[in-house]
Amino acid sequence: MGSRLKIALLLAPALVVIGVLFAGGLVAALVQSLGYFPAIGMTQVNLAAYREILTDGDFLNSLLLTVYVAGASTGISTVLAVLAALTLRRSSGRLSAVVFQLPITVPHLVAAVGISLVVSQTGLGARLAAGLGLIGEPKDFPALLYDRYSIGIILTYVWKETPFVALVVLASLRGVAADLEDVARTLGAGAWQRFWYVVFPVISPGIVAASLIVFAFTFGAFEVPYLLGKTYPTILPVTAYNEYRDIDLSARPIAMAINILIAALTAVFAAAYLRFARDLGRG
Amino acid sequence: MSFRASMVVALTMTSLLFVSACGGTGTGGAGSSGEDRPFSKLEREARGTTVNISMYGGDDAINAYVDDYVKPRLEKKYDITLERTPLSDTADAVNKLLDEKTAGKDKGTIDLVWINGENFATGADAGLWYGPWAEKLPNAKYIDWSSQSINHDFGYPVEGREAPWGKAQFVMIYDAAKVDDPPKDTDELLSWTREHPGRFTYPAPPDFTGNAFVEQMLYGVTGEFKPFQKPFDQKTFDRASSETYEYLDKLESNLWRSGETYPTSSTKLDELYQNGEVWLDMSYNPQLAQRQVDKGLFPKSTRTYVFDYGTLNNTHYVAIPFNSPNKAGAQVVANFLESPEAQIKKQDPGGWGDLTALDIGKLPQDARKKLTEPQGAATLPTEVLQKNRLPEARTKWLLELQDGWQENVLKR
Repeated sequence: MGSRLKIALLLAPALVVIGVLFAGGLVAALVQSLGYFPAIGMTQVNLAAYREILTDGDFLNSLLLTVYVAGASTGISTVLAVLAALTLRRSSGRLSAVVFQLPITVPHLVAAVGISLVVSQTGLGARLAAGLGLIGEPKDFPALLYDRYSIGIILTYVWKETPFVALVVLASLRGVAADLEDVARTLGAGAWQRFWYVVFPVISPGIVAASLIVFAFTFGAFEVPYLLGKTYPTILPVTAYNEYRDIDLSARPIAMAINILIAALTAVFAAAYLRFARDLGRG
Repeated sequence: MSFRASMVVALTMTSLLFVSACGGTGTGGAGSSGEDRPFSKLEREARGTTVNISMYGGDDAINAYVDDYVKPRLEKKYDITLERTPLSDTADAVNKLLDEKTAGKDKGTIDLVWINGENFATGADAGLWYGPWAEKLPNAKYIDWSSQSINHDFGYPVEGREAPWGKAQFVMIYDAAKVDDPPKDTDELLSWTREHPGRFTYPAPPDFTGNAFVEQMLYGVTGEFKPFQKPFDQKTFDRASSETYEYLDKLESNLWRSGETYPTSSTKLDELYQNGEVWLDMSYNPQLAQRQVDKGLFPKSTRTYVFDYGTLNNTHYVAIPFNSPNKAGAQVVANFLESPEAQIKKQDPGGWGDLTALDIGKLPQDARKKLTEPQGAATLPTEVLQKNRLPEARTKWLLELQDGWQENVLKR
């Protein structure tokens, strides 16, 4: 019993922070999303905000864009990260540490600004391409910012998240995978067989966990799309923010309802993905 | 009106009723009485105190004016410490005050807010402003309080609840090295963009400058501004706004990035102009071009001009919240901000470059001269600006116009 109490006491500070700030915020958002906002005299609890959002084409456009951006960023980062980790696992720890840890320390905001300086139509990339004669003048450089396909946003996420996933994968590769692979080789397994039957099962829990974190993060993250996104449609967190700062306070329930839906959708995606991964593991 | 807009209007009205009803019982006392102490008493009371000013913080030149010019002088002259709280949007301060009002918090943290237009109107409807006080300041004698553009803030009666700090006027900016004859009205703008596709754009509303541009187009396309000074009327709005959106739609395909996206702020548009991606720029600050030229950001061949049919102008103010803990200090600061010396410094294009709120005719000779001198090749003479002034429409028209822009131009 003593040790249980100790565990409970040790966990308490963290739980209090999570409980108050996270659960408290979520509950407050839920309450406001239901139209209960006594500060401006709204005391009727109803689903008007949700009804309005769900019948509005703008929300669907935002949702599709958000799923697309989060999905593409996660997919590309994960594939690149696995390839990079497989290549780098035999190299010395120091090189991979530098290559992968550096981008992790750079804030998303800084990464977004950096990417925009490189890929904007008057940026470094455009000038370089024009200087090399690849394009006529910098203005002919393809539009990669504020564009329909959100390339600037995805680039930033790939640059930021690939090292994160790679580090997780590298950690699991450096464990038992190398020994198991040697055993498989002595038993005559080919390169593809070794990857698919030995290495992949070892690293797949890491890949699943890391890519899920990346997806949940990019689905709900605000700053990069806010800086590099198109005026319309905007991804969901930006849509929520625009509603939140509407001069008209009664738009607040709509902003909160979007936030609640972001949280709910992330949870649904996470549950579905974990289930899929578990089935994959069993199969 | 769409379902959403009508719901929003209804909710706003009920919420405002609720808030003002609360104000009457709770904390309304300070808000309704106004200032009756003589200014000398205010000065004495303000000694050794701190005044918190909340203001939009997105412009370095403005921040520097307050921090490097205003702050040390207040300290020396009045022994007042000025603390500046930067806001990304003045609506944040209004929201905070609204929350405090409903929570019955009598002691707030803001003594002065830099404000105008819809933010002032929202706050005034909810009884958030202390007053009247502004017409009693000693330096109010330099201000033409009988002028409609001073005593009404975007059509909303000021009634001494905010003190004029400066004036702004919408201007167009072009690069004379690339553009011989800049478009001076809406027809010319349309044909200019056809001849120079991709070389023009405007910030997306609800950006402040973007709103102003769309409003400017409303005046230009309909050829009138008087109907929009009157209370909102749906029929007039439907006719006028559909003409405007139709025009903006025609413009869109020849805008920067074919109108697929718009700069999100005036700062972004300035960057596009600076990089030579677009050849025309716009600003609600007539001195912006000169300032950017002096800093080496805009090309030296940059010039400022106004549309033939005139351009929008408005006044911006400072207001004291109902729960300001230092109302005496706030008034002393507001009075200093209105002083001729502070206004002359403010109009310097090397710094903020904001037009004066003072009536030139009421000023002593030397101050008058300093405020009317030409200030660089990229600026316009004060007389040209004054001759081409159009009043802002009332807030309701503007809100409808910017909402409609999202539906009718951006999303199409």
